[in-house]
Amino acid sequence: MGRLGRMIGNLLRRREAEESLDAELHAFVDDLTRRNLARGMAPGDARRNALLEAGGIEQVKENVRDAWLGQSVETTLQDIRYAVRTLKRSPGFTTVVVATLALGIGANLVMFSLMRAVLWRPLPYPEPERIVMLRVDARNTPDTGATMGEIQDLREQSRTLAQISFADQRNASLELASGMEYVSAALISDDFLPLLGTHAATGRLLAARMDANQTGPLAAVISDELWHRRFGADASIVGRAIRIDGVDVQVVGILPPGFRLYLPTSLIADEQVDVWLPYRMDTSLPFRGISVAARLRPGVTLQQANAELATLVPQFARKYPAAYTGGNARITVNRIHERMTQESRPALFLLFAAVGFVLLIACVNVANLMVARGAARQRELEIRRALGAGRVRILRQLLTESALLAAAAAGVGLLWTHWGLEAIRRLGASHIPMQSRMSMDGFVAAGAVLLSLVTTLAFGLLPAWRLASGGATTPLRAGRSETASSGARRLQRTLVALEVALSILPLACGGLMLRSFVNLMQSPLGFRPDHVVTAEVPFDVHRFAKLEQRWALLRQVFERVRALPRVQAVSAAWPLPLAANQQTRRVGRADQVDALPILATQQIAAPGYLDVIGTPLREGRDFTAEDVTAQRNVTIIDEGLAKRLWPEGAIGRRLVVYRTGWRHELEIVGVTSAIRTTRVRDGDMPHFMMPYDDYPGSMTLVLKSPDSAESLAQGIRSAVDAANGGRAAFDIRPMSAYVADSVGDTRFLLLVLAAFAGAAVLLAAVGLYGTLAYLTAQRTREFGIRLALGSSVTGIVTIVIREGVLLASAGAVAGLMGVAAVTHAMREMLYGVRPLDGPTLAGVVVLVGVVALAAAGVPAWRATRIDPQASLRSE
Amino acid sequence: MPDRTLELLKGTLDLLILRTLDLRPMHGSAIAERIAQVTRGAFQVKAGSLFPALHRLEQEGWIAGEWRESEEGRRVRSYTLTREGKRQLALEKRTWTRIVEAMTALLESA
Repeated sequence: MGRLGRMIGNLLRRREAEESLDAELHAFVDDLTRRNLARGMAPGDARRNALLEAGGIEQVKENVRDAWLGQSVETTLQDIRYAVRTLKRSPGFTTVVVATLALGIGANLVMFSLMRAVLWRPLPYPEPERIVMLRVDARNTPDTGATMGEIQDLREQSRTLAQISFADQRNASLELASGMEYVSAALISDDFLPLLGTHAATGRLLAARMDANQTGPLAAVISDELWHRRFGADASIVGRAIRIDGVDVQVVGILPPGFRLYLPTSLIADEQVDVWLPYRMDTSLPFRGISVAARLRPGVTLQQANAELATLVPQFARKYPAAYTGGNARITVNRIHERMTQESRPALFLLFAAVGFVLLIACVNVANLMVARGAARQRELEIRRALGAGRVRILRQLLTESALLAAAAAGVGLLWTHWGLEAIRRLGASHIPMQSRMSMDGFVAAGAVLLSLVTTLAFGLLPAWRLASGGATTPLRAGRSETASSGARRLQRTLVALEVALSILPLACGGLMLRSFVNLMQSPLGFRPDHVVTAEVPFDVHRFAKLEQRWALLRQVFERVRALPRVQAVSAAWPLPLAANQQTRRVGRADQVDALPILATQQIAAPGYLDVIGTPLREGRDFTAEDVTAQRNVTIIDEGLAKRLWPEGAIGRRLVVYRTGWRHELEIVGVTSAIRTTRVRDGDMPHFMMPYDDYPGSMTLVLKSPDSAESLAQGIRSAVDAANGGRAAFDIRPMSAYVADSVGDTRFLLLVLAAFAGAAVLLAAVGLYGTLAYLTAQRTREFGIRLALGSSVTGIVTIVIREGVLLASAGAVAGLMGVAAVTHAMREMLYGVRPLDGPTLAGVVVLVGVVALAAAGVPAWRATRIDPQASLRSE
Repeated sequence: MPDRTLELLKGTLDLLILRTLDLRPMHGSAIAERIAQVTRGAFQVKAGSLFPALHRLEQEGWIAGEWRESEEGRRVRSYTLTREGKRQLALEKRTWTRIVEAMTALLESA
């Protein structure tokens, strides 16, 4: 170790080296001085003479330093040149190692970036861990939102929460000279933006005096992006009015650039909000549904806040009985980041685990390759040792090779990471928040370098050290180069079996996910989304205040859209099934006043909707125009609701819908087959429809046409514009997009898992192939002898294939044993399939078997080409 | 003693040092003195050449240096020839001999 220590010493313990050199030179000068004195010089002259002789101590030091540097640079360059030559001589090895490591590194960095963006980076707000969201469970409904009255009271009474504020995101239309433009807007309370710690870059934020009961123009704050995009970054926009949804609002401030709204994905669709408006709502109304955020006061913990809320809830229940019917009320707070990431957390961890396996397999592969290569290079290194190369020097060269491989792997890996991140963005998993923060930055690059260095050095160092220290003692053998020791062969076999075992796990998870996805997709919808195109059609609620006006407008839109080429039928409803904004109501039989209400989703529909969407009517009739104009209290329910409440027959019965403080009775005129409105995972909900009325401010148009949404988009927009509703149509997409979105989380997980599982299998196959090829090549002589002694070619092939199958089987068995634990952890994410699903595991085993056979195929085929005489002759 | 200094061929300094240390371990000024003695003053190795060479040879692993007490009781950095150094010495001796033979043959050819 002394020599290596000196080398490192020169670099690291530079100061000690300098001191030592200094002492050495002074000793030299002292010696010269002494000699001069012995020759009879005067002491002063002796010293001066000695210094002259030496040539100046500083100068000598410079020369030595140059030698140190030059030496290390020189040897490093030599090492690099040598390493490059060596690696070029075995291109197969180099390519496979770099590709393998790059794949492992790339996949891991993609997950690392994603985890970082979603889970690890703090939100870009001041003290983000102190921002919390309220969750209200009341009226037997979880997460139902707060009422304005509760918010007011909390503001007055809570001693643990400050800046209690709320936001509601809306789509809005901005009126420009060129037409209407869709913008994303948020209605907020005054302290919402201060809660998130932002100030106005120009002007001011919304102020308390602009709250409800104000008759003057609304104030609005706009984003920096909108300011640049539509108002030319003209500072005079502050103080001017712009027209949002047909109403003049006055711009009072502009936010700084890059401000993003990060809230749970169920509440917020756009991180980029263009217009911020004050939330105007009457505090006396007991309607729920408002999302509330707050900040913990300094020194307050989450537990203290929750404890305080627990004491306040009974007071609220007494004060607002209508909002608290049904008992079991609870208000809790939770950190905003946790609320946001709750849903996606398990999936992300599963993917992180899967990708960890991929990296492990890659490392095992590389280790295997290096062991094999090390054995093959034994002779070369022995020769070099015999020729006088120092042990340390050889070690340096081997390490340089590893470092070069690491650098190449890191580089290619980063390329893979870039592509991988692109692919993830395109997958559009809407349930994973903050994906926009996913990026390749310094962290990621550092991660790549670190990963590749660790893996190559770990696997390059071990065999290198063994070779460098042990090689000198074994005498050079003439003749055939020594085959790898049986120890190395055993190691290789074990590593390959390990690889196969490791690849089983991602495969099994991927298989289970696939079955879940298929189950989800096959779940009956109750409607037919093919050839149905949808579009959001909002109304100017001020110009069309009355039902007759809106109905007339809607019929105009229908006529114009129906006139478009290849449009077969048009209708509208709100909300569409599987859309995010389902309206849940408590309903029951009108004749059972005391029964507990059940939850059902409500939909407003125009006549003809059922026909367009392809939902069959089992009994009764569809809505008619008269139902709308006469505002009849009728309803169409689905089979799920009918069977639950009126197993004896529902037509003619009366449904009651409970709203806060009143009840609405409806006569059942039709029954459809069961319709799926909520996500498959969220369970089945019964469903009922009401004829078009003045409740919603926008309807979703549905039309049947063989044409795609893109080709119809322009026509739809023009038709809606021509009907002069004062708003632009937007969000024109096929009905199948809603269906796809509803399984978006499973689909995302499936695709990423499939990619990782594919990578794992590929790596394991490469490893299996490589090892078998190597081992078979080693046995060429033995096979030659067998063939010469009369063994059939088939016999040889069988030997090779059997070895491959044995290794794969050993690995598969080991892998299957570990599967139970892993898949059990993912049972929450599965649908319709158990963690230890027989067919899935069988499929995995079959796949591994096929891959093993394929990997053994080429070496086996090569074995058939062995010419017995040639192999016996060769040395 | 002639006070001449022949310009050392590059690389021969290594050979000189290795050969000198082959006899016994020595410190810097002793090496220079010995070389000057044995070559009868033909090679006067200056500190500016000696010490870079010594440290370079040390890095290559051919000599090993350590602080020791000399016979006179002073603290000196003494260099020893290592096993690899011995091998290197043999190698360089052979190379040198071949060069000399070749040069001699050339110079004395007709």
